Amino acid sequence: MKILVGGMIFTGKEFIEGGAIYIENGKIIKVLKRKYLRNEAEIIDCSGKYILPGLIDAHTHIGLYEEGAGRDYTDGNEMTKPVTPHLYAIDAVSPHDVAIKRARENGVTSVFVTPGSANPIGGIGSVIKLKDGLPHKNVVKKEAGVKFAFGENPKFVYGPQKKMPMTRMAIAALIRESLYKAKYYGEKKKRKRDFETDVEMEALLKLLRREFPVRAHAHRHDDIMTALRIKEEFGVDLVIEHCTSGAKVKDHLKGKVIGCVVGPAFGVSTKPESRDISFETPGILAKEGILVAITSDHPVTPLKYLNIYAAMAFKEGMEEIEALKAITINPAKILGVEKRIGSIEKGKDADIVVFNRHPFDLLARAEMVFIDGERVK
Amino acid sequence: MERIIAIKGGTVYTMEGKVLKDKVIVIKDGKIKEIINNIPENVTVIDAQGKFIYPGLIDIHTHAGLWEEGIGREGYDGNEYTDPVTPHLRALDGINFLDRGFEEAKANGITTVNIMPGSANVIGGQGVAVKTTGEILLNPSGIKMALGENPRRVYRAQNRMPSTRMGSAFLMRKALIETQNYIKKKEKDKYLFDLKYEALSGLFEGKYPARIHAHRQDDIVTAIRIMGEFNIKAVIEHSTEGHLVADFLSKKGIPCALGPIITTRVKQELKFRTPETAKVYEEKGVLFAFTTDYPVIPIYGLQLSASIALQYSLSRETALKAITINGAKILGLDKRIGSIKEGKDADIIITDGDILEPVTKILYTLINGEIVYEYKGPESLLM
Repeated sequence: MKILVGGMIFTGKEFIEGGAIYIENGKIIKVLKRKYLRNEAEIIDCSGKYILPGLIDAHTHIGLYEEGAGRDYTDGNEMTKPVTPHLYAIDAVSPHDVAIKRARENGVTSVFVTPGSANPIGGIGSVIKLKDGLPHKNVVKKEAGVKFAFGENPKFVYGPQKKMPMTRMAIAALIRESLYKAKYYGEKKKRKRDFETDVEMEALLKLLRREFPVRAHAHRHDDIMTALRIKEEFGVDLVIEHCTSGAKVKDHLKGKVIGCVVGPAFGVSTKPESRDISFETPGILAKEGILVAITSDHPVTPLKYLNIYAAMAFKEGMEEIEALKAITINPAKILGVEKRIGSIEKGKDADIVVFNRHPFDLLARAEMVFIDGERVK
Repeated sequence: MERIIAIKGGTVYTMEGKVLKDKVIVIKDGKIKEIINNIPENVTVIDAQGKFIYPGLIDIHTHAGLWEEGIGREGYDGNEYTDPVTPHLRALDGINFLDRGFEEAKANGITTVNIMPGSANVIGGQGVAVKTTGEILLNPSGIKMALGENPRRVYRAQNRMPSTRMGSAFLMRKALIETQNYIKKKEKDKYLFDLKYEALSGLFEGKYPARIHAHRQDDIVTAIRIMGEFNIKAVIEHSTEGHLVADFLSKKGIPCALGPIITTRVKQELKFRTPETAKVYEEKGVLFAFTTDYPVIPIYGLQLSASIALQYSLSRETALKAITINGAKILGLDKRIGSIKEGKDADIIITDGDILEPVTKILYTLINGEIVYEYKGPESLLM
């Protein structure tokens, strides 16, 4: 047994001061507000430190674009066919990506890894822990959402090839066509009529059955609206990814989406659809009661600085607790893994990071990191 | 408390056959409640004495928000020239409602636009009629099709069909015949579903018309002939050489979008473009509405098109109709918009002069009874 004692604990909901976290068999077995030490335990003194649930990023491509590797080693976008719901990002995550270690040592313990945004329907993403070893062994949830992409990226991948889609209209049409196909496929399957298993349709069928949500890459307000329309038409669950112009349509998002994964904002507007890039967006959306997670979109911006992106959102008006939730419990909820990770509570995985200062302090350093109760830093 | 607005005084061009003077238009719940003589109590008054009042203007053929202004290729979403037959595409999915064009439309008194895919494809997709505030009026408003130079040019460059007018006509017919087959098969197989044919089925059910881009007289006639073969309602878009086949259009009762007339003859099929077409349509009894084809020309070209047609002997009355009620009729929305009448949407503009005079300013634009634009000096137009 390990006991983390003292310090400021952010539980995922609130701060408690001077408490104790009891860890056994990889789980948090209790969290006390007062110190109560036991002799047989390994006592870890955290006085003066900040203790957080291991940070989570709900939108990354870690391992798909290995840091420092050449272009032949990119595995994020299957740009040969615009509809590929049956691809799994996890099949391409390189365990050698140094970003995994770099992020872990800065307190990030779990991520969603997803295919890129070249395809209107890109494939299925998984939640993994940033432990060493084969990514498959570190899976928390294999099927946590199917990536869709609206806007400029699919247009510029396929348009120049004179292949569909070259317009936003066709992006929506391809998605709609695929979902209708899946719907009729599902009905045939139920009645076992002219039925042959179709790997693409199986993936979309799970989506229609709401086993996981659509993770819709949508920067601009109009692309967000298109995603919302499609959600309504097919009754699927929806998470908006990037959500750069989300503030302009916040009233439409409210109550309609599981959440918004906002970012990356630590950069310049590299394209028209990211013109509204701002760290104000997470705070504006959170004020509306929308579940907000802040993302690095690694490797677009480095995953290891996730706490800094939340700090920037705090600086631009997001409430402190909301900004902390946006890199801990909120992404866990969006990913549907909040029963296991994202907070410091009894029964949860012992994924914990101990910072020497408030994590929004630019000088904050992750001094200790635990995953499943094992100290990894 | 609900807000009641009264527009007091002025000359009201109702487009319902009468011109009213010094009346009070009462607006409640976004609708025109009544037109009376005295101002009721507890209302917000807009003083329009000495001003001119018209129904909000309508442009039935635009690509607003589909080809965005000042963005470049990232904002071009109107032509999917990867497949010449794409009836399942929806203009709505490509529209940026925060595009500057919508602001400019409101500032120029345009309250409703029909937005359609472009003319690169023989069958381009579904249009949508919207208020310039973004409210959807009718979706789909029709299936956009195209004959003539555009599809031929686009696909010839890719060495694909259609590279001739024959090819375009063939692809159009083929898609419609396949839809007939689909409708028959679907009666027997309820699991059959194809988004393309579903979109075209609506034409056979009379839910919406085919809106066919056709400039040259032979293209116009080809469009009408093909739609006639399938008993599908047709609207001719652009109808540049319509004056040469006006008798035929009139006899068949085919409505036309006319324009843009303020362009140069940049392609062969525009060779006989003339503002006189409007006058000929008036004489022959062809139902038509002016269009800017925005952003082909700026949206404020709508009033200007009507003004220019006046120089070519079009009557003032028809010129006004062709930017208001006629468009509403062609869209099948004349129960809601296009004139100032009790019960209709309160889409109203107030101007400081005759709208057909180019120097006239739009002072107020109201959509559903809300002021969506107000002239506050020259800077209002800079936006």
